[in-house]
Amino acid sequence: MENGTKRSRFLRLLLVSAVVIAGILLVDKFFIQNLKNSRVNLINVALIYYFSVAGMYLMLGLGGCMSMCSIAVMGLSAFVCGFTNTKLGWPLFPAMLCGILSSVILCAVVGSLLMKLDGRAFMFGTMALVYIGTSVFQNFSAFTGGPNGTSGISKLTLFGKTFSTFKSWFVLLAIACYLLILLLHRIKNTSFGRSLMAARDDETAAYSLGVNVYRTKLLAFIISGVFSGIGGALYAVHNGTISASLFSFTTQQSFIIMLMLGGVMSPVGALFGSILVNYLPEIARSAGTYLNMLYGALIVLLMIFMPMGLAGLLKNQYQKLRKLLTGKRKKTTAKESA
Amino acid sequence: MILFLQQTVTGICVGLAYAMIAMGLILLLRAAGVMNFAQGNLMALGAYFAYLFLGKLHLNPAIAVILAILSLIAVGIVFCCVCFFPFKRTKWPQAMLICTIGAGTVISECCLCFITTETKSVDPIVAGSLHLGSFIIPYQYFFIFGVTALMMVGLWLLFDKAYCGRVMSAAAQNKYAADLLGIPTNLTTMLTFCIVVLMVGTAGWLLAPVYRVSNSLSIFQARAFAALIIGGFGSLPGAIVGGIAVGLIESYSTYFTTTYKDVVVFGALLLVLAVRPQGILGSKVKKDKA
Repeated sequence: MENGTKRSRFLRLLLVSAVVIAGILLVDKFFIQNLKNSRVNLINVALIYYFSVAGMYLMLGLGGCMSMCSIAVMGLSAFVCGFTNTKLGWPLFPAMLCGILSSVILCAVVGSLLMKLDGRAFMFGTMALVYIGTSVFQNFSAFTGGPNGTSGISKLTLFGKTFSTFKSWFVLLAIACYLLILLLHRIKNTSFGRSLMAARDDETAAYSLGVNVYRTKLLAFIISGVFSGIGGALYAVHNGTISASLFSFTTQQSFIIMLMLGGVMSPVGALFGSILVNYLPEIARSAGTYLNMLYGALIVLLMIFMPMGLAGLLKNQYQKLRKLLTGKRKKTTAKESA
Repeated sequence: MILFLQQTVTGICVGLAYAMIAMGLILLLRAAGVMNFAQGNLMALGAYFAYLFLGKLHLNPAIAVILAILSLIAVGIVFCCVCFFPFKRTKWPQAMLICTIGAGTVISECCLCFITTETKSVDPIVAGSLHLGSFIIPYQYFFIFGVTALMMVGLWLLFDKAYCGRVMSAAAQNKYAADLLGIPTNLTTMLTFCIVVLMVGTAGWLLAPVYRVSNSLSIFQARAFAALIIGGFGSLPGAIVGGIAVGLIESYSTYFTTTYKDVVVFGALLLVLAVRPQGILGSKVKKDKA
């Protein structure tokens, strides 16, 4: 019996994966290849940002702590990757690994220092890290190239294929994002994910049930650091050049907005949120100078009318429709709809 | 020695501005539970008003001040309606935070679109500076000291002596109980928003001649966050001490570095979090409110 359900679950996963990959390939063939290069770049960068946003989903959606430092971690990883690749002449994969490793170390150190404090102190501590990061990236010329940034990072070669144009990257990044979503779903259903959610809902109750809140949250922070690190390394390789001005608090704010726009409880929603936020300037270009004002007003309206983002909205509509059709209300858990 | 004195005066002066912003943050946090990320933009708005009324429209200073106060109060009411009332029953406090980020963007873009896109300078209230040998203090600094001190005394009087202030702090401490006692909590919250916007806008107005008018004034917000933590989270005296501490740290850091000022200030913040997480004066906010 157990074996049978396992197998059917595996088959379903296989089916969903096949559909998703087919979808990605179709989108690539009919949509991405016909777009302008700069627009493809925007979409790719959104997919890369999604790695950081996924880390924030883990921290905020499941863990309930506002972590503000994904951009600093991402920047460190990108610059370490760039530095080891261009200045030390390492091959690409060790360089990327080195970048990810450095971000893990940073997260472990900062996390073990700040995780003991309450939520707000943690938020401000991580925010301080972003400001320190911005200052260092912009001024420490020997390491990051200062205001000029790092350029000339070598191209990625995988399975005998060189990823030299933005268009060739799309499939790779989209599949990576799909794997990330699968991973997040998996994490949510492990005992680690459940203890994380328990710690979010009631720390004292979680303690009394034997959850080591500190260690759980620290682990979540380190995992989110790994995601951000992968994102940073991918960003460095994808663009080939890194400029320090990207890794500022403004970008961090837009990460939060991406997460909230898509829905803080939904990894898939967050993916659409990041694409939407990054691509919006292209869609609404006609607004001209009022673009940013529109963007701000949109965020305000969004938070007022659908605080759980696009995913929350869809879920509500789905439940309303279901109620309408079946005539009875399916019981929803208070936590999910809150 | 002269340099040291000069740095101290500048540091305290800037620190007082940080303290004003930090105090505004605490008042909002207590009254509405909002961590306001638009605080820096509100401060820049005050500076923009200074330019709009004095530099662009060339109004009589007295009329300009009255107009600015009225418009800041109006901004406070609108800000309260947008960022607080829709979220009164929300179970997800981060939504409010994001909303303030959005509102901050709108405020700064409005400044850019409707007032000016260039960096402008504003004439100080009294031009010139006091010379004591080679030790120079611009007269504007005296105004900054004086007005901020006045506002701090005013706040203390309001919250500790006046009936209105007691009602406000009662509503801030426990909204439900205050409602039961017949305190109009919506009104007190709105009043708090107005006071905070007025305070922060005044700080912006005072700093406009020193730092010039531009949207980059909003970076003061980050220092105010640092001031909150360093001084002790949640108490008004803590905010003042923290603000001055951050101002002095920033100002003395020019002795050995000018490019890494941010690193010094926020490094100090991390150090305080590591060594004394409750801040210099100790934290006063209940922990469960995060």
